[in-house]
Amino acid sequence: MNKTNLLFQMMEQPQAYTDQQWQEILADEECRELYNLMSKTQSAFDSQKEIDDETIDAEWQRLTATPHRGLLRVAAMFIGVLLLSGIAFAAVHLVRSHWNTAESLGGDLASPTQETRISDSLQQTLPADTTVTIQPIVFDNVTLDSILPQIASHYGYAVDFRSRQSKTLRLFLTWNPQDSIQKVTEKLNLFEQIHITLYEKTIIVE
Amino acid sequence: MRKRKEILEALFRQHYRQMYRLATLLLHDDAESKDIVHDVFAQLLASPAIELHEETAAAFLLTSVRNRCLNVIRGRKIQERVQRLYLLDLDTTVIPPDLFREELNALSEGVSLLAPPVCREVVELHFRDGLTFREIALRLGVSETTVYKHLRHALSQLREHLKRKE
Repeated sequence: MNKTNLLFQMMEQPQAYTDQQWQEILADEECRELYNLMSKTQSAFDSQKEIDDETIDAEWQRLTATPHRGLLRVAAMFIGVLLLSGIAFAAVHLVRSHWNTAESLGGDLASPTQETRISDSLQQTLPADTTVTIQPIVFDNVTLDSILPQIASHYGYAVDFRSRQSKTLRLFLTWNPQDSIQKVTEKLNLFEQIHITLYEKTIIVE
Repeated sequence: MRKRKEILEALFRQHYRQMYRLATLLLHDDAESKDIVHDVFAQLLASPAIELHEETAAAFLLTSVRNRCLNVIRGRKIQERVQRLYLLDLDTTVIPPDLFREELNALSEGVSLLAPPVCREVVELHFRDGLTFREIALRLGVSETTVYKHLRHALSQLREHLKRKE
């Protein structure tokens, strides 16, 4: 097989080849030039896509209708700080009360096992309402290419749409961010037209 | 606060197309490009300390898009970069202000001149419609090797067309 055919074949299934194999083929001047020409040809087609005013309106609505990620992050950090403060306060309180009890009983306070017991008891005495419940998110008539990036980002995954048709599928989906990504994938795969797999931190849509 | 939102909305409407275009030229993905522009403005909405001036807003917004795109690209492995057809060496490529406009126009013109028609069909099915080489082979009733041959011939013509336009 000549090298350009090999390049095309590798481009068809990039994941089937190692970093080393990619570095070797792209180190070849002719293949590298051919690849870059293909990239620019793709850009030439992309540049013909027109964005209409309705899309801009919809994007502005999307931007202003949802809480900003920055604010969400700040909120999450705030909740985290409150939680840690609560735990720290509870720990100090428990240590004091435990030591006071031990002192009154004349026990040995220096024993490391006591610290372990305190730590264990701390977990048990945390009030049940300390846990932060995350509300499920409802996607109502939203395209898959809007849904998946949000879900992927939450789990630290990337999204790879191998089928362009699936991008425009509109779904009604209730997503619980506390579910595992595997469970979410299983749920999405219940839709007849969707086939999703997970591979090395990437959600692959075929 | 309200006034800032109005200013940002005006900038959003004024620069959206150019920002989206830059993102899509670098990432080749409609949804990701929209998300990039979305994130740039989400940050601006959440950060009142960032001041924007009319004369420098366009440069600031495009640089923000470019940097976010490069962050996306840097976070991907070589296989993913190839799959998405990212330009190689983007980290070190100086992106011209006109965003390769002339070169891309020349390429679009070159595609329209491809001959024989099957070469153009292969290029359009792959780059415009997103079909894989295997899918194109099935659609045309030929082998994948034949698809490679047509694609190689088409790319050779595009290369020559670009040289003539230089």
